Amino acid sequence: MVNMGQASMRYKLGKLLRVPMDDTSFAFHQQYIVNEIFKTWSRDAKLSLDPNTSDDDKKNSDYIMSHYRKGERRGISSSKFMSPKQYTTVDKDNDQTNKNYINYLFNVVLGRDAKATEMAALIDHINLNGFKSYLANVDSENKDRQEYVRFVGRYYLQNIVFEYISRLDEVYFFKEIK
Amino acid sequence: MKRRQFLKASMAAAAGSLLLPRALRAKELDLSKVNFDTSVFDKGNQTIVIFLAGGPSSLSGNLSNLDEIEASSQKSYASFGAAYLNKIEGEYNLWKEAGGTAMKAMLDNKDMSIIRTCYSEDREKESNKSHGSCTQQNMRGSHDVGNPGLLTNLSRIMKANGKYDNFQLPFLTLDGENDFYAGDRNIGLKPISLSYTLSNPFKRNMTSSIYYSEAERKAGPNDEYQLKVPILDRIFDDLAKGFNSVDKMNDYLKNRKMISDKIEEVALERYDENEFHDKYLAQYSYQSSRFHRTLASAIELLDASPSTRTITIGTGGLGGWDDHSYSRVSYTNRMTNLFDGLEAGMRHLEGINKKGKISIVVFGEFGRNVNLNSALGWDHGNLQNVFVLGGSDYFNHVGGTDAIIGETKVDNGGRPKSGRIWLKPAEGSYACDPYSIASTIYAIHGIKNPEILSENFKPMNPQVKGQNFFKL
Repeated sequence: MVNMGQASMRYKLGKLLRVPMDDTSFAFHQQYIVNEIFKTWSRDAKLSLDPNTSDDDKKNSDYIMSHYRKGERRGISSSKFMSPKQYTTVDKDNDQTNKNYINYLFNVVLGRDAKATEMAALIDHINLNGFKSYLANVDSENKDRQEYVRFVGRYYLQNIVFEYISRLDEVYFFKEIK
Repeated sequence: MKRRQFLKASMAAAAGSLLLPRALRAKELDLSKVNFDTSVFDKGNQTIVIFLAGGPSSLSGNLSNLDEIEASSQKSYASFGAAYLNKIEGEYNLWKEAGGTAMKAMLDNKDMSIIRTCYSEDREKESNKSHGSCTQQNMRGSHDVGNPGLLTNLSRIMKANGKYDNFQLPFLTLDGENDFYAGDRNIGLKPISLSYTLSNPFKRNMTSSIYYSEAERKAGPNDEYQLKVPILDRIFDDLAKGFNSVDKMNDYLKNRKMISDKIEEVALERYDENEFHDKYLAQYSYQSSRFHRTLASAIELLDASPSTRTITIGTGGLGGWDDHSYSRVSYTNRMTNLFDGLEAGMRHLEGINKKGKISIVVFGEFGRNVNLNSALGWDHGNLQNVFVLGGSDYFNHVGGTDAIIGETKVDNGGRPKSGRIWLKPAEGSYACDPYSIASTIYAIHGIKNPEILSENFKPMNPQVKGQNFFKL
């Protein structure tokens, strides 16, 4: 097509005379996918769950929720996407609950469970990091506090998992049907 | 004419018009004709190219014809008022309120030379004073806007001589992409584009403590661990490479890491603006404008990355240079800010002992008509100043008024007060073509016959005090 003077990328208005995507533009693309879609979350659940949330912030939470309902939000919904209803919580077993949540996230984006090496790497990091992802039910007198800690744990874990998932070609390319 | 003949003639004309652009298309870069001197390239010269988009008036650096201009101008220059238009004392003929004070200081300090007679005969014949084509031509060093940009050509020549490594950041821009990097039938050059805060586009946003192991976090005091990329970044890359079946994705992961590491090596992103202020801005008396910060960042980058050859920047934050109207305040303030920044830049270069290796070249697409129009501005012209700073290893800055090169004359076409008054090179004066700027940049980086890439125009090399201005 180039020799016929019909190079499709060259003559389209607004197209630069260069390859459609390179490392720099893909870096920005990856940043966008991770930062603006995967890791952006509406603050509704955090604000309503956090025991330290002030009354003003709770009012703000209502305001955010009103916009959320109108669809005026960016990224994922923390209250729905990260809800414990979305995965199986195993009583007093953090490791298994973590794995269930990780598989849930993999399935949402990639349509598959995490492979054994992927799961091992993620669980290893959780242990090395030192933060415990308290997703399982634990005995606690302060139920509100426990619910908030669980929420933060899910959020941390979600960020880590999506940071990994954003490096997989499955996110950006359709699988060829053979 | 019969309908049959008309159709035949139309088809022939249509076919001709399709073939014509290809027939006229610029020749491919013939690398075999380029004389590349490795010993010059290996000196490691570096250049900051500042393009003044819009076409600045040359009057800031050249008031030598002001009386003649005044006699022909529609509006009187007296309308600028005594507070806005004064000459620097002495024979400099610099506009005091338009950067003249800083210019004089740099001339006297042998930091800068001004070439007042950058003028295009071709554009004069074609009556071309269009922003688009003049910008494209100047950034290519070529009349043919189908040719590659000057830095694209330079990168190809470097590559052909085994001197190009993309992971060493040879070309950086702090002002986005432009026609310096344009391509031809082959793809163009893709510079690494950074913001003036040196935000690294290749770095993943992983500064939260959740991405670091406990051992990493406790390795240093407080939050210092956040300045390093977490090990998890590498672990995730390696893990993903094992699952990715698309080669391009793994190439990207590899390239991203290499470029990101290099950027991190030469310039940490400015999490702390105060530290930047103390280290550069206050030390060298930069102001806090975006242009000053951008220039400080460019010099900091070149100092830290000797493999970087050119950085292109604009004057973002100062405004454009297309001063058709109300130039009294905007032009003078903009010029003052520009040259205050350049003067701070020279202090910065001196402070890091790089005035020899690093040069700064300042120019635009064209100069301006010197008639002060009814809106107190200037329309497009064909003669501009080129400001050459630093690079004393290869530029001969002789200092004082001797470093102001080129004499101009006024041409009003025999019709004073008609709105058309041009500055042109005076008879017998040194003059250079805008393409000579590209030619000079090629020569700085080792090309011995740059004229074959720039319409037969050689580097800017007037005689100053009986010596060559350009020493390479």
